Order: sequence, then C-alpha cells, then structure tokens
Amino acid sequence: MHLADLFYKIAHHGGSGTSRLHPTTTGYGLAAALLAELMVSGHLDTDGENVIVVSRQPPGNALSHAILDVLTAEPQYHPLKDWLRFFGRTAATDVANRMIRTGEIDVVTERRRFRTQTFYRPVDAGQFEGPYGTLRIALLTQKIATWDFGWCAALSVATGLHHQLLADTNPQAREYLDWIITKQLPPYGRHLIDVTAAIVGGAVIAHR
Amino acid sequence: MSTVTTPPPPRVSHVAKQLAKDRLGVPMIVGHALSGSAPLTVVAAGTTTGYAITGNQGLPLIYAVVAVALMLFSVGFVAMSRHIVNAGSFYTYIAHGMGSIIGVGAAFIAKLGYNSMQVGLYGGFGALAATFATNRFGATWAWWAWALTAWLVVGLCGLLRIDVNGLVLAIVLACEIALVFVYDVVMLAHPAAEGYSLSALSPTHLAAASFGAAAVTALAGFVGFEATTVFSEEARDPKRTIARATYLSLIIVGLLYAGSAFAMTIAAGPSNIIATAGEKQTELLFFLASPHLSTFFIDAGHLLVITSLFAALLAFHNTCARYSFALGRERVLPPGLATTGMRTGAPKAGSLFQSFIGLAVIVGFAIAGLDPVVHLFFWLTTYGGLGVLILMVLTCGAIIGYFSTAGREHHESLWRALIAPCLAILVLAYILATTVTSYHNLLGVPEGHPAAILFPAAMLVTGIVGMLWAVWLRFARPDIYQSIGLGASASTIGVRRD
Repeated sequence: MHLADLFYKIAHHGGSGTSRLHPTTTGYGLAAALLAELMVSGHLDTDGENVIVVSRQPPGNALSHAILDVLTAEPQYHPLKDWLRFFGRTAATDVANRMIRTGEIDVVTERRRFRTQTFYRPVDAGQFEGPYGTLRIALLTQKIATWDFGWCAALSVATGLHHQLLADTNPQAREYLDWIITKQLPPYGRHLIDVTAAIVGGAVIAHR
Repeated sequence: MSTVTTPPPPRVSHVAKQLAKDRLGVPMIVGHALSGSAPLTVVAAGTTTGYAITGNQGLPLIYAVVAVALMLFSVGFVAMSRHIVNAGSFYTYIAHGMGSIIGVGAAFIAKLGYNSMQVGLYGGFGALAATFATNRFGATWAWWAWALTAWLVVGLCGLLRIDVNGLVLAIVLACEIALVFVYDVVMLAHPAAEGYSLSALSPTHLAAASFGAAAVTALAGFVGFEATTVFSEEARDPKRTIARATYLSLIIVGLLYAGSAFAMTIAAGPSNIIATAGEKQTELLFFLASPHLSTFFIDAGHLLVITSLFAALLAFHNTCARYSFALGRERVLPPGLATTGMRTGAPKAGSLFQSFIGLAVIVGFAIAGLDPVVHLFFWLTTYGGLGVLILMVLTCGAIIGYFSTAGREHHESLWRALIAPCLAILVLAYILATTVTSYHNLLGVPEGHPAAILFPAAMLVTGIVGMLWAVWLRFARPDIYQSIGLGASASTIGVRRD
C-alpha cells in the first residue's frame, strides 16, 4: 500500500469517510506523505531547506509520477514548505482518486444544503478503519513493525493526530513516538516532519 | 553572416504562480487589522470615555502623535517580521532581540494585556446593547445579560472556528468608516458657540499631567494593527505588502480617530467637551450628531457600534486563544494549551481558557455592582493598552538588539534597524513613564488611590514572574528553554514530548 494511502485511512473515519482533522491539516499531512513516498524511493531529497530532484526515473504509480513531473518542470528549487502548501491544496482529492482506482473508496455525490457535494466513502468500513487501530495498538505496545507505519506515526505527530491516537494511553507511548522521529527516520524525514508540523502550527496562529 | 537569436523566454514557475494566487494583498491584510481595531467602537466608546475619564482636551492631537509614534515603531517591527517568521506575537521578537528570559516576561505581560483588552470589551458591548435595547424596544435586560450572551456566542465561534465571512466583515467595516465620516461632517458643520476653535490641537495638552493617560487611551484604540505581521509568510510581496498594510492601517484609523475626536470638540465646544463627555459617556457621539441627522443614522450608528464591538470581541478572543496556543506549543505555558480541535483546527484549549476568564470577569463585575463602561470597558481596555505599550517599548529594544547582532547579516538600513526604533522608543517610553507615574488619571480616581498603584504594579509583577519562570526553565528544562521564541517551529521539540 502506498504511504499516502495508508495515512489517508488513518486520518479518516472508516464509516463515513470524513476526515479526523481539519481539511487544511489533512491536506498538509497527505502532501507530506506524497513527498515522503518519493523521498523513500530515492527520487527526492532536501538540502535542509529546498526539495531537490535526485532521480527522474519514472515512479511506480501515476500520482507519484505526476508529482515528480511538477517538481522537475520547475525552473528553480523551492523550499519544502512551499511544496507542502502547493500539494496540500489538492492532496486529499488526489490520494482519494488513487484509492478509487484501487477500489478502496467510492465517490458519492449528494445534494446537501442546496448544493451538490462530492464525498469519498470507504468501500469496506472495517477494512478501512483497520490501520488506525493497528497504529494505535502499535504505539501502545511500542511495537511498530513496518516502515510505513513508522512514517504514519511521525505524520500523526506533525498533524496533531497523535492526540487522538494517544488520548488515553501512557507516557511511554509518547516517548516511543519521540524515538521514532529522532532515531528511526532519516535526516530528510525529520526535516519533512519538522516543516509539516511548523506549517500546521503556523496555520493555527495565522487563523488560515 | 551571424544570425541573431533571441533567448528563449524564462521558464515561469508554475508553483510560484499558483501560490501567489493564495497570497494576501494589502487590502485583505488591512481588513484583518482594522476589524480588530474596531474603529467605530473606539470613536463612540473609547474616545468619549477617554475625554470623560482623563479630562484631557487634547485627544485629537494625542491620537495623531500616537499614530506617528506607531508608524515609527512599525518601521523596525515590519523589517524584523521579514526575518522572524512563524511569529504570532511581540514576545517572539523580544525573545530574539533581548533574550529568552525577557521574552518570557514579555509573554506573560502580553497574556495579561490582551486578555484585559478582550474581557474589557464585554463591558462596552453589554452597556451599549442594554441602552439601545431599552431605548428602542423597551427591553429590560441588564448589561451583564447582554455581555453573557455575547460571551456565549463568541465562545462558540472561537471553539468551532466560526468566523464572520470576510466579505461581510469588509462591508460592515466600510459602513462603520462611512458612518463616522458622516457624523464628523455633521459635527463640523454645526459648531458650538465657541466656533471653530483649535484649542484642542494646542501642544500644551501634551505637557498636561493627564497626557500619559490620554496617550494610553489613544494607543488602546490602535491595538490590532500589529496583527499585520502574522501574515508575513503569506503576503504577496514579502518586502512591501506588510509594510504598506501596516502604515495604511495606521493612517486610516489615525485620521479617523483624530478627526472624530476633533469634530466632537467643535460640536460640543472645547471648554465643554469634558463635562459633556462625563454626562453622556458612550452616548456623546450620538448626542452631538442626532439634532442634525435622521433617526435612521442614529439607529444605524448604535447597531454598528454593537456589531463593531462584537467583531472586536471575536477578533481579540481568537488573538488570545492563538497566543495561548503559541505559548503552549513552546511549552512556556502548559502544553495542553496547544491542543487544537481535531476537526476544526481551532486552538480549542486556548479558546476555552479565554472563555473561562471572560465568564469569571463578567460575573465578578456584575456581582460587585461595578460600572460596565468605566470599570470593565475603560479600565480593562486601557490596561490592555498599557500592556501593549510595554511590549512595544521592549520590542523597540529588541529590534535594535537583533539587527546589531544575529540580524546583522540581513543588512537592513540604518533607518530601519536603529534610527526609527530609537525615535519610537523615546516617544513610547515617555508615554509609558508619564502613564505609570500618574495612573490615577487613567482610572479617574484621586491621586494616591491604591488602585493607581496596584494596576501598574500587577503588570510589573506579572513580567517578573514570567522572567523567573524562564530562569527556572533554563536550568530545569533546557529543552523547553531553547524552543522559546521559535513560534510554530517549536513543534519539533514540543509536540513530541507533550
């Protein structure tokens, strides 16, 4: 499963498909996940501020390919925060569309409040909700087994979702989260999490 | 024969172009700043009560002097905002320019000042709403009932991140400014027996014992203009937009406040303005204009003051909530204050904390039988003004400190980095000194009254407590100490450990 798809599931309710977070925050989290996919696959890196294209080999899926195309088409480097803002505008829709193609989400249009709105509903609520529960248990037992759940744990910190995940658990789980970010993520990963968290916080301060 | 070839056009950055569409221009940022300033509230309630309490006829000139001082202050302030990003507050600049210990002291003063400003507005709202409802509809609700109603709505809006639509806000703001202009023209067109006397503009008022009190009253009316720098990362042109928006905000409200205060002296007569203001208080503006305007303009004015107050209440509620969020995120205050509503993204804990303070103050003042206009509105909003004045004086020092040390690499001009902040600090420090040494003028109490000592002393003690807390953090929690002043960027340390 793609990292962004996994984080999408964790950040949305399995039954209704609604986001557990404010839409802007969800967008930033998913944008970070999409960039993380390309960083993990060796296509992207950062120089401490900007995102740099390291490889132009076509990635394995259309969405990552489209993102890489946008990055390579730019005449200049841009800071990571600008990329998060740019992709954050459409990340939720882009990832949802990818999950429609894999059959995990259905698109539903309904008329509400005098206008037609589009919703993304999970096809199988139980299966969709699974990763949220898996991550929660993994944090409780301090046993995250796979790299993608480790990344999702870090993204949950960046977006504040960890408050929901750890609502009634012990401080050891929080220490474990800290260890994942500081000791398990590569340098580009820590930078990505730092900048994502700063942008999410900045959006609250600026009331945007 | 050589062929001249034109170079290909430079590739356009699609990302930059797209992000530019979301960036804020001068009008949007000015709108944000002015909605917090609540111009009609200042003219109808702040200026009128200011005349009554301080007894200084020279408010028109003092508004102008304060506006100029704030523009001088803004030169360095805006320059610093280009380099200190993710900032929600004065204290971030103070921490960068004067060190974290003074920064935390400033943070505590900021919390007290902005909280006072916000809860004080409930008094104005309650009193004005009660008066209007009684006169117009015969309603008999007490001021505190109206205040508590506003408190409930503001609290819910803050918690659920319900904002007044930007277009609605802009229209209401435009109506406020237009109405003030109409009132001013009417008042100027109908002078009192003294005619067009310029005695209110005499510089002698700047040397009066009540100058400090009047200046802080004036300054309280401008609070909100500093919100422009919060958008420094999202401004269309980082070098120009924030500066232009800040100066434009100050010029607009400065002219409005000074002009309206002057028009009131013409309509009432300079020698009568103080007595008339004392008698009519927040009704002064309407009393002076109503003989020459239809009921529609007077009713519209009353309604717009009430909506203006509500907009200011919500704006300052959100400011206080975000302040608590920023301080909780840095763990200068308990990290729980950085909790946001999951679906709303609103600073939930900060909002609830602010609502709790508001409720306690409204209920306390109601039980004590204190006057909502004089004691709650005027005393507390000017107390907020005092807090912001202290922050500005410290920020001037921080600007000079920053650009002479870590900020030297930015090569800001001598005017921005040194001269303008020095000039600003001279004026603002003078205002601060005269205010604190004659605080009884601001409260309208006799000299030597305990309240005149307790109010400024409480602000000082709050700052000292903040500094002592920072010293403790330095030795007991160096991880928190090093994140002071980082703003939203503090999340990398704080969020993982809360």
